[in-house]
Amino acid sequence: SARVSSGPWLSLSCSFLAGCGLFEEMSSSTVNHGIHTYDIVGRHIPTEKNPKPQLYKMRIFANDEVMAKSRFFYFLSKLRRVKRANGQVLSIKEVEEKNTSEVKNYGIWLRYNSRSNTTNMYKEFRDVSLNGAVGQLYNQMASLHRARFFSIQIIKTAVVANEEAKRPTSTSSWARVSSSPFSTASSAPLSPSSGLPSLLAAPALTKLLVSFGVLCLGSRMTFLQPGQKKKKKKKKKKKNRSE
Amino acid sequence: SARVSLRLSSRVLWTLAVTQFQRFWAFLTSSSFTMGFDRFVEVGRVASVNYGTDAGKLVVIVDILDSARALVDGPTSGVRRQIVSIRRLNLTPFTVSIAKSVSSKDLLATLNAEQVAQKFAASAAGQRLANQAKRAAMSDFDRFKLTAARKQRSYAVRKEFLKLKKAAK
Repeated sequence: SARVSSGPWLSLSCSFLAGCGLFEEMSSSTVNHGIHTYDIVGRHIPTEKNPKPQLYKMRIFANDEVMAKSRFFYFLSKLRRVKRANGQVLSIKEVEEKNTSEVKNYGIWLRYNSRSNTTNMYKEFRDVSLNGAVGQLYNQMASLHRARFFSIQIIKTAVVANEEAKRPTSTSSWARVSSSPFSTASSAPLSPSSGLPSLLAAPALTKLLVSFGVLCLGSRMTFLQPGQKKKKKKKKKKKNRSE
Repeated sequence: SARVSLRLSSRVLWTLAVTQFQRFWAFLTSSSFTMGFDRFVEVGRVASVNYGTDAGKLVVIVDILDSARALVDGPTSGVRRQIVSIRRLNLTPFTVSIAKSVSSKDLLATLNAEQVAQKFAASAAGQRLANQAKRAAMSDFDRFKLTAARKQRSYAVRKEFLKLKKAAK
């Protein structure tokens, strides 16, 4: 499926369409990975034996409704004796993100087919919407694990609070920026990294080095009192073992 | 004798070194160690967008996603709340104290109260942006006027220069 590339193309097209009055809301992310969430309700087609089959609902992440229906039957046929030939989709609705003005940590449990076997994973993404986070997930799985869309099954998604987050991207200082504007711990600055600070530019260091150097020298040196002679270490002569 | 045994004072030196290092470490990890940086990507930082359809507009960083992206909102300049790459932002020296993910309405009130847009317009960066906008909006006649003005200026400068050159001989 065609992926919309980031940046000016998307914003220009959005602004053009907004000017046309076709779009009410611009996308909240400059890079829209294209994933949408769909709630799909489907069932086995009614038969004489079973005129009222059980309804099944699934929440599917896909780029469009066509892909979503396909994935719906893929999962449903794995779970129940329903396949596309004898099933029907009763309702497919897109689920919109309620609040796109707050950044959230999304924890995603997934399972994917690698080349040799299938593995479970738990990943976290920071984004403004679940669609954005799942889009990031698919991109990251493709880049890091060469996993394609069809190899990935999303088991569960959840919004994770900063305190419960497990991954470094969610627990870094920017995630812990305090909500109160007046606390001293607010707005952790990004530029001075919290990693190992540079030890190169400080006058105190020269004092430090000098004192350490003096320490090292001091432990080696012994000052002679007047009248004392330096003790010479006797070297043990190796016995001549040749015969 | 006047000679000092270094073995005795090595303990003193060690404690001195340790206290020095502790103070040095406290300085390195404190918020005042900024390595010369003074504009940070932080909640409340005012920035101007430098690329895209909203180029040239003022926004405020409302939350930070990761090291590359931030959630920005520009109610005074008509920029919708959106995720933007930090590389598309030029940080200004101005900050507003806001809560993380404040509502657009409250942000607008804070910006108007602190007159951020006016302060930015008066600053060097703001004036540079305004001049760039003026130049981009020039008509052919404006460009003619500009060329004429530059010629007049260079003529006046040249005249004075030649006078001074002659006087220096």
